[in-house]
Amino acid sequence: MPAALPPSLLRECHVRARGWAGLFRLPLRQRVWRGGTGDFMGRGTGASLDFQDHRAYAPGDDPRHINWQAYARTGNYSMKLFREEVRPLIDIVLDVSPSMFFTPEKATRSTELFYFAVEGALRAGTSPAVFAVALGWQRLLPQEAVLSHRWAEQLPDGPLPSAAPPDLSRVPLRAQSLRLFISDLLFAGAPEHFTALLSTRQGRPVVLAPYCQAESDPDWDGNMEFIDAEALSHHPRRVEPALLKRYRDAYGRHFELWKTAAQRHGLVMARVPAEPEFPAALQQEALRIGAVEPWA
Amino acid sequence: MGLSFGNPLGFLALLGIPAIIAIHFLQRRSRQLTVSTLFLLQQLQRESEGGNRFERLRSSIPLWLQLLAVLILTWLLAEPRWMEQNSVQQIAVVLDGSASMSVSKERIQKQLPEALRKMASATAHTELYLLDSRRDSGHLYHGDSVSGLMEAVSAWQPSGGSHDSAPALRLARSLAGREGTLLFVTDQDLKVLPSAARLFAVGEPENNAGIAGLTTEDTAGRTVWRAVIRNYSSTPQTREWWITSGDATGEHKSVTLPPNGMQNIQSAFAENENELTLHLSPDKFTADDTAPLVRPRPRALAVLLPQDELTLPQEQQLYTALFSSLPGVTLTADRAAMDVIVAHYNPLDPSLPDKPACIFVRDPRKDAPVLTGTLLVEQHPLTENLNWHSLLAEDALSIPSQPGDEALVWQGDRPLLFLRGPADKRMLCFNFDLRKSNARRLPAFVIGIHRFLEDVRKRIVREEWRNVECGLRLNCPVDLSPGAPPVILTWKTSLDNKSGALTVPAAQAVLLTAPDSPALRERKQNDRLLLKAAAHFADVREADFTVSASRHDLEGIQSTLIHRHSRADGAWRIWLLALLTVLGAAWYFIHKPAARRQKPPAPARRSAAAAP
Repeated sequence: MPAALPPSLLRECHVRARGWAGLFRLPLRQRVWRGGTGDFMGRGTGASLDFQDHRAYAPGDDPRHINWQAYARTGNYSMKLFREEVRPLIDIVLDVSPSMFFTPEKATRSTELFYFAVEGALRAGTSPAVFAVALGWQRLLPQEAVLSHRWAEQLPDGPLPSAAPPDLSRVPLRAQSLRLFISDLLFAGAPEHFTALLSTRQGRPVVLAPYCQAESDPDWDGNMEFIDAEALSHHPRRVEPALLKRYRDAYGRHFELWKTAAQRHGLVMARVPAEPEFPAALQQEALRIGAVEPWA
Repeated sequence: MGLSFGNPLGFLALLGIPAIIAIHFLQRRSRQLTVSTLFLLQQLQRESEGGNRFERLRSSIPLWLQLLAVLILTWLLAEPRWMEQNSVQQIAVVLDGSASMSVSKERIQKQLPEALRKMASATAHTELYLLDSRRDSGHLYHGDSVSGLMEAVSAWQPSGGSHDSAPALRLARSLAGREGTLLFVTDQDLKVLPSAARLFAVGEPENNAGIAGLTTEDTAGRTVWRAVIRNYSSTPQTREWWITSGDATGEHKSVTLPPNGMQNIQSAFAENENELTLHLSPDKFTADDTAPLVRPRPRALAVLLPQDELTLPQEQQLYTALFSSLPGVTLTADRAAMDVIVAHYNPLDPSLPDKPACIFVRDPRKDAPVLTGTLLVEQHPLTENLNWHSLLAEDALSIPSQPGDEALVWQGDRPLLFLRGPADKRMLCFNFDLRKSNARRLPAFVIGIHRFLEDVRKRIVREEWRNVECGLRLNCPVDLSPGAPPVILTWKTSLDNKSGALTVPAAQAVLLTAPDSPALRERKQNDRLLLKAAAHFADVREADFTVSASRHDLEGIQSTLIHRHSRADGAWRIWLLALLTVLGAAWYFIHKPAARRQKPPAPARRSAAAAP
């Protein structure tokens, strides 16, 4: 279990996330979903009150939905069809690589986003499938372990290869599901590969990428001994102001590539800073681009 | 208006500059930091890899302020003083003219200019005097140029023996004035110097060995010379020695000297060989490595004994034995060639000779009472340290006293021994009968006659050859008669075979001395050789370098001169205020960036109770 994720932190984050789930919800209103009977608009016809269409009566149809006014006018039986209401499928994929938790702020924000996603799914009346991924490792986290804050015990411990990408192809994402991918995206590799995987089987991917100021605007200066958060290897470096500027440019380019790839595959990607309070952090980008929605 | 510093040690504060720079180099060590974006760094240039042991010095306001503070502090500690425009100082330098300084001359030329220039920098003008401690008047240089003074030092030749430097130091003090600087340049660490002189000792111990003395002796018809070779060091020394005579060079022989010991070497003059030079393999002190020698030829003194018929054979025998036994005395019967006449007083013919003479009384009486009375000896060079009190003499006839007689020995009121006549015709009169006294058995009698003859010999103008020590006054009578020709001096040094000549008036010849360095010198008057002297160096005090040392008693002189001839910087309060201001500003800038670097406090997490 990563030392950055003690049960007390998970508990505190869960409590806070439950409260924020009353302010914000997951983006489930913007499209139709597939799933069991629920509160959200489905693709087919159903028993809701929303009229959808007419069609000719066929034997076996529920006689309660025969449009008797039309029969009176035309003498033909016709059926009134209503929109189906379903519970959408939500897959939550949490990147559990050590970089997600390498500072207290980022660890807290990552955990808060995770529990916000879980609580948001629960508020939508669905039972989310929660996956933890890191490198080639992936595991479905039981809801019971998630809610009892014991899921961190199942995570792999020890160093990992530096900046190794998670293997999303092994995650059994469900068709037409809402895929919430919570990851800092700090791994090497072309973003298109990951955005394509997240978009398979008509899923709707939403990426929430926590980040902290130590990554985006570091104060490195002079001789530094960097410790890779994942591989735990030491790397002496000398950082001059020019190098620091180039690093910031590279960091910005890395996420520009991700955003470009996200737009290409219809993926909603929002970066969430770790330092502000959670509502303020969501309002910076996630709320603006529809990665989350306000309840009101 | 020149700038000088009263406390040059204050410049040590400049060491703070490298210290501050070093601190700024080292203050930033590698900082350990956990990062999640190392893969982004690895994509950048490889120039960042490895890091440096030392942080590259980066310009910062605290750094420059700290360096400025060090400069101001240095300025304050160095006590800047502004030189008075018309300030003048006198510096008198007295060079020890003794021969041992010849070894230290190179060190003088190296060290003295620096010291003088340092002192001269304290005033706008400097007057320099250079004197030799051997001379009590005049100076070698007077001017305001250190270079000019050093040129005079280059031409200066120290070759004298041990001497008292106090007169030269007194003269130098009078030239420099009460507040002037007086330097005594020597090669020994003298603890006390007269005339408030400051010591500038430049000596160093040397392992010297050299000729310490020379003697000659006539033995069995041969003239043998003996030399003492002395080792002045605490280690054994080996030297070669040889002699040269004319163009001939003798066999080289080796002599090993024990520590602080000596060895005698000797040889004889060859037949018809009258001059030679003894050589020793040279060392740093060369004055005692060469010694010229001549076969001595004293000025012969011709004595004419009594030749009258009244002189008994016994008396003749006595006079012959007495005068012929004296060195350098020959008996002659030629009245024209004699220098001293021995005669008897004749009361019937009381006239005395017109030449230097020894006069004896002869009393024909057979018995006479012994003279009684207190025997009193006058203070005179002829009687000095001689015991006449055991003299017993009978009462004989007496030479009547004359005005001008100089009594030497009295018995009662009778002068037993007296001098008569002017110096060039002086007679020594024995006013008692020699035969009726015990004078012949008294050493004082023989020595007195010997001293008298030597006194006569000193006044005789005649050729003489002798070996002398360097620097001694040469007693050589010359013709001082009116219209006498001048005296011509010629010399040839043994060290470098340089020769020279000098003509002086006859009256000044008495002032001439032997040369300071080994040389063969001739003194002539009207082509008549009067003296051939071979001078060798024999001052063992100068040849001994075991006590040579270096010490410069110049501590504080620069500061004293600067304080005397300059005024303090009046703006020191402003500099002090500036220093405090700079230090305060540096402190501010050191702490201000630190506050700015602090990370903003982590946002307060909303507690579960506060969450909506």
